This record gives sequence, structure tokens and C-alpha cells, in this order.
Amino acid sequence: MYSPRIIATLVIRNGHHVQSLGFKHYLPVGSPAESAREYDRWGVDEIVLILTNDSGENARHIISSVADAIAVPLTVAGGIRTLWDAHNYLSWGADKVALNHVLVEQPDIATAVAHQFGSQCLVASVDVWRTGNKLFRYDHWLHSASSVELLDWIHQKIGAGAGEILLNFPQHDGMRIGMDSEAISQVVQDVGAPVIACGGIGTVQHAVDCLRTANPSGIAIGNVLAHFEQSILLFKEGIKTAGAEIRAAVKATYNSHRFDPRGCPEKLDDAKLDELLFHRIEPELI
Amino acid sequence: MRLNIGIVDYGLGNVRSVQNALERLDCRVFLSRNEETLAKADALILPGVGAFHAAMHEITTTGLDAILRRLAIDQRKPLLGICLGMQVLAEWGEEHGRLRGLGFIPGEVKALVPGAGRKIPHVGWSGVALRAAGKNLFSRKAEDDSYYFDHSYVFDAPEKYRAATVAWDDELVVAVAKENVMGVQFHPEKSQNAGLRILKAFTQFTKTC
Amino acid sequence: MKVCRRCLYTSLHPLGLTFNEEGICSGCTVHDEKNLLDWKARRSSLEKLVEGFRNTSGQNYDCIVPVSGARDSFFILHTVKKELGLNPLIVTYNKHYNTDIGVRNLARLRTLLDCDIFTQTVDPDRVKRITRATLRRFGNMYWHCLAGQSVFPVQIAVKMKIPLIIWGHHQGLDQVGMFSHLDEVEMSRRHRRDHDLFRQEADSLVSDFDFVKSSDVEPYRYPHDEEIAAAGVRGIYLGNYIRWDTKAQHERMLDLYDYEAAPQTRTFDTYNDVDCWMHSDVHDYTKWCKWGYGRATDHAVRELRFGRLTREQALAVASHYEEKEPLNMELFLEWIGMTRFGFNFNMDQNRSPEIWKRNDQWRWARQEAWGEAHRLAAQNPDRLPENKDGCVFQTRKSPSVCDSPDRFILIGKGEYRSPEIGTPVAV
Repeated sequence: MYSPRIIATLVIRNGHHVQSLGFKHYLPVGSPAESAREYDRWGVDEIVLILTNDSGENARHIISSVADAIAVPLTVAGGIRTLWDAHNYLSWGADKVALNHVLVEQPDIATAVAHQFGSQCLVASVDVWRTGNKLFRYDHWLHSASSVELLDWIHQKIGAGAGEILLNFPQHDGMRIGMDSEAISQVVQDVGAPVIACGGIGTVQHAVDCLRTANPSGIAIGNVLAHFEQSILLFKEGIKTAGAEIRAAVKATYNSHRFDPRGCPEKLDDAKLDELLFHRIEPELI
Repeated sequence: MRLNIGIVDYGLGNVRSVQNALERLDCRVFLSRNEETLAKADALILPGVGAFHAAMHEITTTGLDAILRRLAIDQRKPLLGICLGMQVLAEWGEEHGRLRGLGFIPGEVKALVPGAGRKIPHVGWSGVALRAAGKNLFSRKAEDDSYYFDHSYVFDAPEKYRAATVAWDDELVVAVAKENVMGVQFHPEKSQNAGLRILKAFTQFTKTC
Repeated sequence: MKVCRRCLYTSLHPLGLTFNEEGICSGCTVHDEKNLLDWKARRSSLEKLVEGFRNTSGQNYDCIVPVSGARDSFFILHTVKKELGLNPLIVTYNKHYNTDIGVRNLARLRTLLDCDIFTQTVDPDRVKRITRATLRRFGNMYWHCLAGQSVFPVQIAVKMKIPLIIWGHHQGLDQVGMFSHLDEVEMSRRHRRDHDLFRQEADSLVSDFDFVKSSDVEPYRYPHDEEIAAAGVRGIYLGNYIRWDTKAQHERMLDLYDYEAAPQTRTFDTYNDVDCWMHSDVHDYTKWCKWGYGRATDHAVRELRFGRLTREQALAVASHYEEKEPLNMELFLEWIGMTRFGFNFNMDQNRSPEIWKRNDQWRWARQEAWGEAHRLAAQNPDRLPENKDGCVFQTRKSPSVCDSPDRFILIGKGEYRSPEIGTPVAV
């Protein structure tokens, strides 16, 4: 058995790592490779790059600089229209490619990519739209829900060769209101492929709630990871405290701390801090 | 003493990360399919991502099967197969019909069987149970480590060649070793420090050869 | 290349910049939050946050406050000590480029606000070798200041187990809207490396070619993740909880604490860089060489966003200052042991090709796209309501002297006269 993956999403616009609010408003954070490098150091389980408008040489530079900075799996989404694009991304350093709109425009492309590169390289990325109790595939170009029911769409794509499913929630993206755990749970229980969910995480508690309720293979966290030091570590610590099995990736640990509602560490007792004064803490060596 | 590590180039597999990881361990790394060049390496890495039949097709049409047999089996050069690179070390693979592998380690590559709560492909991070054959790859520290897996097929090797396993319905073999030939189903180059420790162990084994 | 319709920042800003559908940049949209947020509520959040960090044993400080002889240090320390009632340890990294005003301001700060202070002064030979390396490699002579100022407080926090560090404003948030105030962004090593240090941490500078050894950069190394996690070190920014306005804040400090302010070479802001010979002089000149704009633009944009300058006034004042020759270049060159020719050579390697080109006289000129983008933005500007306070910066000089042969000297400037050279070598 494997533990749920804590995944970092980096939205990229004009070569910058940006914070995304509903994929409409963006705030510049910095260099994609520097963010990826830091998340990797903090023990992230996987990184997803979402290219919103870079292509060609810019895309090559972004993907290869991120791939060189990390030692974890890299999935790249955005801008894949042809088999050749998928090939390029994989040769520039991606381990997996995520296809979204192109699955609508070119229904055969999923099979072609899976056949050429293997199902384990192919992630079907689906935007989810909730209307009351019903879940639909969201159509980005029309800015509205399509009439295609979500589960039907997902089963089609798995049948066509997708190895994993990435669920995005535009109604939650950047809002920090938590995830749509009910929707995620429905999908997880219905499909045989691993499901990763993305969109809405603002606090560690949101992540804990989603894992507990929906049990996805992984949750992807975006903007909030850039807000405080060692954020990945803090997420993992909070999730572990809540009882989930989480991969302890690095030696650094917050296991003596309590946390505030956001997930940031509260001050240790002064007695404990005094004890640490003469305690030498060694860095991790390979 | 800096080791020379040759990565076998047969067009499959993301070699960049393997190269970066080995360079972090202060090795000199090159990519080749040429026997004379590969012979200069102190050890070889066989990467691989994708399908068994595609890998074996490339390996046999380029003559790499004979080259690797001469270097790894006859000359006993250390060889580490990663993911698909581990699977092609087997005698047989069952993807798209029964196909011969390199046959360096006994056993057969079979499809993973989905079960209750078991998603296919097997994707994600998992710890492993260490076995006797894995003593050259896994240190005691590895008991606490997790590695990144992404596969739909598994190398079913006999007991004596199992280096590490993972719990599934019964045991899943995730690492194999027979003398100087080893393989890991997971991706050490994608497993952060835990993976680096595996690669370091392999380089240290190489120094003893 | 694109220019904001409201302020003067361009899409080539080194920190990155995004634009909304109306062509207004992320820096301006985040600045608008200053007029929309409930600052009373945010102040309460701050009070609640720091409350949890008070020391209860009586044997350690409540927090660390990084200071200098300028840059809102008085306002930050006044807020922390007098208003929040915390007991801070103040720390300062010696920039080496100190002016006498800066030394007096710092003396006044630690005396009038009655705080314990730790100072780090790295030996001049090391600092010069590192600065020669950073100038050669990426056209920057301020790296050691940025590295030292950003890491020394963290090192002390880890060593002395004082987990809370209180900074003033977040430069990325203020300039380009990197974060919303509501994100309550905290200090991170990632930001330091990417933006403060131009992606060059201490170990990147070690090189035989530059005569920089691993031990030379030890003072600039960030503590390990393990140490930071064990102590739970966090750095917060007052600017997320207080409606930050550096001009207004400094003017309060001029009266409250006799803060000294003086004219600068390359900007009209007389408050922020008064402690340093280099910041609004040679260092700003290197920024101009690389990125095609200087501090005067940053300050003009800041004042424009407060409504104290119109767009036209901002452009005029920025243009006025940006081509000013640095007055203290000779001082720097003598200190570092370099000729002007050598300095220019280094800068020529680092000019951004998107911004600069050589014209027919082989002189550096900005690309046409720069001028065109600015003209386009000026055709349909977005205007803010005017702030009647205007934009006048004061100067203030204190009559007091910090060194004297007849009195106790808390920390003096000191001077060494070498008998061979015969001229004073300032320390």
C-alpha cells in the first residue's frame, strides 16, 4: 500500500511561477525552477507544472530548468496539442504529460499517447463543474459546464489509456475554501485509476479533511505553498498528526510543535527551547 | 576516486534525472550504445520507461543484448536496471504476448492484478521490505525510506533473487539482485534522498568489484 | 514588453509582473487593498499572533528585529517595543558602506529605544573578495549586504532559539503584488535566494578564480532546514498587518526620535537609504545598467500609488534621476581596488539584452520597444485621485556627535591612521 501523495502545482505564466485565482488573475511569485527546487527540498511527493501560455523555446526552458532542479516526478500540463508536443515535453524532462482540452478536440490522442509512451506517462486532466448535486466536465473555451457527465468522461479516458486522473475545480481554485471532497470521493470510488485532486486548499485542515473524506491518491496544493517557510513539511506534519500515513521525506521535522489554524507552528514552550540551546542538530547526509 | 558510469542509451527512459543524481554523487556520467564506450564504464545503468516489447525491440535491433551480455555477464561489470530497465533483465515478459527478455535474472514479467483498493498502475510512494539478496543496494536506513513507483507490470523472480518486496495481495517483487546484476522497480532518480542512497550504495558496491 | 497604464512598471521588472484585463499591473491591484482592508482587524490579528511568542521564562527575548540606520527601522522597533510591548533583540549586519548619519541613526535607535543589539561585521578582506566575485559574475556589488541582512537574523534566531523574527515590509508584495496582504506571507529561504540574492546562495560563490573559499562564505550560509524546523523559526512582515506607508512613517520618526535624513544621489527619497554611501548611488547605478531603471522609479511608483504624484510627475522625477552619475564611485573603486574601466567592463557583461543595445556611436541605449511601450501606456493612463498631502521629502541633520574623547563611547566609529599611508582608514 502506498501513502497519499502531497503534490505541488506550479501555475506558469509568461515564464513566471504565479499564484492563480480561478485561472483569471495571477500574481507573480518568481522563478519556476527556484520554487520547484525548494518544494523538492522540503520533501514534496510530486510536482505538476501548468503552463498557461508558454510554448516552444520558452516551454523547453521552463520544463528543463525545473526538471534539473528536482529529484521527484514531474507532470506537465498545458499546451499539448499533438503527439509531437507530448514527445517534446517528455524529452525536455517531464515524466508525465497531462492532457485536458485536447482530449475534447482530438478524441484519439489519448490512445496515441498511451500507445507511444505508455499509460504511466498519461494523465487525463479534467475540470469539474458542480451544478447542485450533479458533476459535469467544465468547458474552458465556453466558460461553462458542458453537458458531459463527469464520471462518463473519466471512464472514457481511462479506457482510452489514461494512467491517472487529475481533477481540477475552477470554482475552488485560489479561493482557499477547501476542496469539494464529496465530488472527489465519488470519482475515487468509481474508477480504477489513481485520482489526484486540485483546487481550494488554503489551510492544512483543508488537506486533512479531503484525505479523510475522499481518500484520493494524492492532493495537489497551489498558491498557499509559497506563503510560508517549509510549507510542504508543515502540511505533511498536520496530515500525519490527523492520523494519515504520510511519507516522511526529509530529516527535518516539526513533531514537537503544535500548529495554528493555518498550519504554521506555534512557539514551543520556553523550557523546551532552553533545552534545545545546547543540542546540536545535524543536517541530513546522504 | 571518481567512478565512470555508463547509461545505456536505447532511446527509452528519462536519463537526465539519472544523470543529475549520479553527478550529485560525484560520478562521471555518459550516455552510449557503443560497446567500446560502455566498456570504459566502471558500472552500467539500464533505464527504461514504457512497454516491454518496445524496449526489447530496441535492445535486440541495436545489438545491445549481446553487448550487455558480454559486459555484465561475461566481464561481470555491475549493472543496475531501473523500472522497465529492471523488467527487461527477466527471462520472459507477457505484455502483448510472450516475449523474451535479456534473461540475466530468472523470472517472468506479468501484469499487475487489480484488487480491492488496488489501483493500476501502481503509482505513488511506498516503503519496501528488505530481503537478503538486497544487501548491496539497501542499508538498514532503507527500512524507513520510501521510493516512487509507477508501473503496471511486475517482475516475478524466484525467492533467492528477491532484493526487496512490497505488500500487495501477496508479495510484489520490487527489487532483484543476482551477483553484479541488480534491478529496482522504483525510480531512485525520482525518490529524492532515499533514491540517492540507493544509487550511492550501487556506486559503493561498484568500488568493491 | 508592456507597461502598466497606472504606474511606470514594465513586464520586464526583475521580480516579475502580471497585468489584469484593464492593463493595470499586479503591484497596483495589491496596493489598492490598502484602501479596502479593515486595518483595525488586521492589527488585532497581529497582536494575537505575537502574543503567542512572548517569552514566559524571563530568560530570553520575545522576538528578533533586524535593523539598520535607516529603512523604517525606527518605525518597526517603535511598533514592536512601544505599541506591541514586546522585548526584542535587535540585530544588524554591518554593510561596510556606512555613512556617519547611518551610524548616528543606529546609535540613536538602540539608545532611545533601549534595546540589546547584536552586530555582525565580516572582515573587510573577505567582503571585498566576495564583492569582486559578485560584481564580476552578475554585475552586483550589494550582494553581501543583502545576504548578510537576510541571513544574520535567522542565524541568531536558530542559535538563541528565539523563533519569531519581525520584518517591516515585503518588497515583492509592495512593488509587484507578489502576494496579497491577506496571504500573510512569511519569510522564506526560497524568496531570499530567488529575489534577494539573484539565485546565487553563498555556496555558489566559492571559486578558485575569484579567491573565494568555502570558509569565506560561512557568515552568509542559511541555517539547515533541520535547525529551522526544530526551533520553529518564523519571520512575519508588519506590512501585512499595518497600512504600510514608508514616507508617512519616517516623518513620524523624524519628530519622535530626531531621525536624520539627507539628500541622495539617484533618488528624491531622503529617508530610506540615508545610512549607506552606495545604495542610492553606485548600487542603484548597477541596477540602471542591468535593468534600465533605478530606485527613483521604485520610489516614484510608490508615491504615485498613494496619489502623491501624478503619472506625469512620476515619470519626470524618475527620468531626472535615472541618468545621474554616481557621486561616490571613486570611494567604492578605491575600497574594492578596481578601475572605472574594470567596473564598466563588468557592467557591460550584465546589461539585459531585452532592454539595452549599442547604438551607432557604440553607446548603450534602450531598445525602441521600451520607448514605444511607455508611449502606448501614456496614451490611455489610469489615474488615481490626487492626494493633497503632496510629495515633499524633508532633510534633517542632528547636531549631536557620537565620538568624543571625554565621555563613555557605547559603540564608536573609530579610525586607524596608518603611519606609512598617513591618511585615515575608516573602520
